[in-house]
Amino acid sequence: MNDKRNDKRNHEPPDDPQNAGPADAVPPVDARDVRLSAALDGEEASPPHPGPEPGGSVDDPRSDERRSAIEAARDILAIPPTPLDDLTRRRLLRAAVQASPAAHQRSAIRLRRVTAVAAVFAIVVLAGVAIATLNHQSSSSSKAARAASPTTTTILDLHEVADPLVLKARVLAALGSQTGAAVPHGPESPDAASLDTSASRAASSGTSLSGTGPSGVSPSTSTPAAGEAAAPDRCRSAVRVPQGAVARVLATATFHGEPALVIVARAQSRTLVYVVSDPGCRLLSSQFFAQ
Amino acid sequence: MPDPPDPSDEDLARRASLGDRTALEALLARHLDHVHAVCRRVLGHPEDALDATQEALIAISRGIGRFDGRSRFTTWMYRVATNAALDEARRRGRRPLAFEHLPERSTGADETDAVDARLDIDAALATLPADYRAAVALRDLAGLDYAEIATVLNIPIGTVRSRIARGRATLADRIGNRDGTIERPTPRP
Repeated sequence: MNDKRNDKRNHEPPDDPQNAGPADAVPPVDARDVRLSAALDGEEASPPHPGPEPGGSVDDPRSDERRSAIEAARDILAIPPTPLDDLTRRRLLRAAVQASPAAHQRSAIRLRRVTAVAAVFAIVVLAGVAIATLNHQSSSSSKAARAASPTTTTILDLHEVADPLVLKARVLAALGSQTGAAVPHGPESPDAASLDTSASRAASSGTSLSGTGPSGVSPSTSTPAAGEAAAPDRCRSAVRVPQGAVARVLATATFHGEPALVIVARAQSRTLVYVVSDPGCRLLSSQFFAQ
Repeated sequence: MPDPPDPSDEDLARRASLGDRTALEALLARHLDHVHAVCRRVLGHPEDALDATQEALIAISRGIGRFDGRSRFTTWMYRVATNAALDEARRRGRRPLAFEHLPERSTGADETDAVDARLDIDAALATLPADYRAAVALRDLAGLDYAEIATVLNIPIGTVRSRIARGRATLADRIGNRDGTIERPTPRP
């Protein structure tokens, strides 16, 4: 079928408009040339019908001469072009291999890895910042809590408490300040300004809050911060408290000008107050009142 | 112990399609000259042929995953190469080197015979359209059979037969006319 169609096309001009060559100059091909050429390649078409072949038989003498010419042309056409030099070959190969999807995939994988590492790094940094921020806030909260809780770190200064009424009033004020109550003003209710922290006083006066305990513990020099931490335990064992009551250092004070610690303890509905010397933890005064 | 046989084109192509860069490079290196030969013969111009070869190799590299193995790898490869060459011919609108632009032929040395033949080929085929030259190149350079050429060029096998005959006859006529010397214009002063 194709052969029939092809025989019709043998003398047709090129019909492909995309041909880049001089289509108009294509010489008509002779049917005998087609047969001879195909015979050289073993690709002869079966004759569509018996009878004399168009263009003459391939067995006549003229065909032999033409066959030789076409065979020579075929041999020449089989000569390969000048081979490429090695540099050009390498350049062509490198460009082609780099254009492969695998190369792009490797680049993409490399990019993804870099991105992942950067993302992990960013997450770690952000997490670190967040943790640091939380720690800072927590530390600030703890400091604020410690500042608001004399039982833990902050010791108030009740100043001169030789007068029992003043002692009572200031102890009540100090206890009230620890629970958030307003600090009363006046001798019966000393003002809040008089309730300085011992830490600030110690820092400004350079005195230490540490002392020699009755248990014979040697006095130790400490920073105000360390003193704050050590104050609750100082001299607590120097006072006798009822069974079940827990003494704690409420504040620093002076007793007739002598540095002292004010220790309180709760027993049932009473508040026990002890004033001991500091250092020395010698009992200077005591009282109790209902609260 | 004998060396293991070289992997087939199809095996290399399969590995290359799976991302094996070494297999791809081996495959391209094995056939680079064949691709270039077809492009050179179709285009008739060294620089255009280099461009088309580059395009063909890149197209093979990118499209290796689409080679399904149902035909020979070379059939698929030559289709890509021929399309690249024909695209280049259309893009440039440039004909093969005209006869008068060919370099002067050397005389006397045996080693120049092949060069002379190449010049004759370019000159003779310059009168043919690019896809005629493609049919001739695929047969006489690449060694494809007519059915494969029909597949590559997407034309009937009879058309393949006539185009090859036309190319050979054109060259045969030129050889027959040159009576020992190639027709060449006198160089201009």
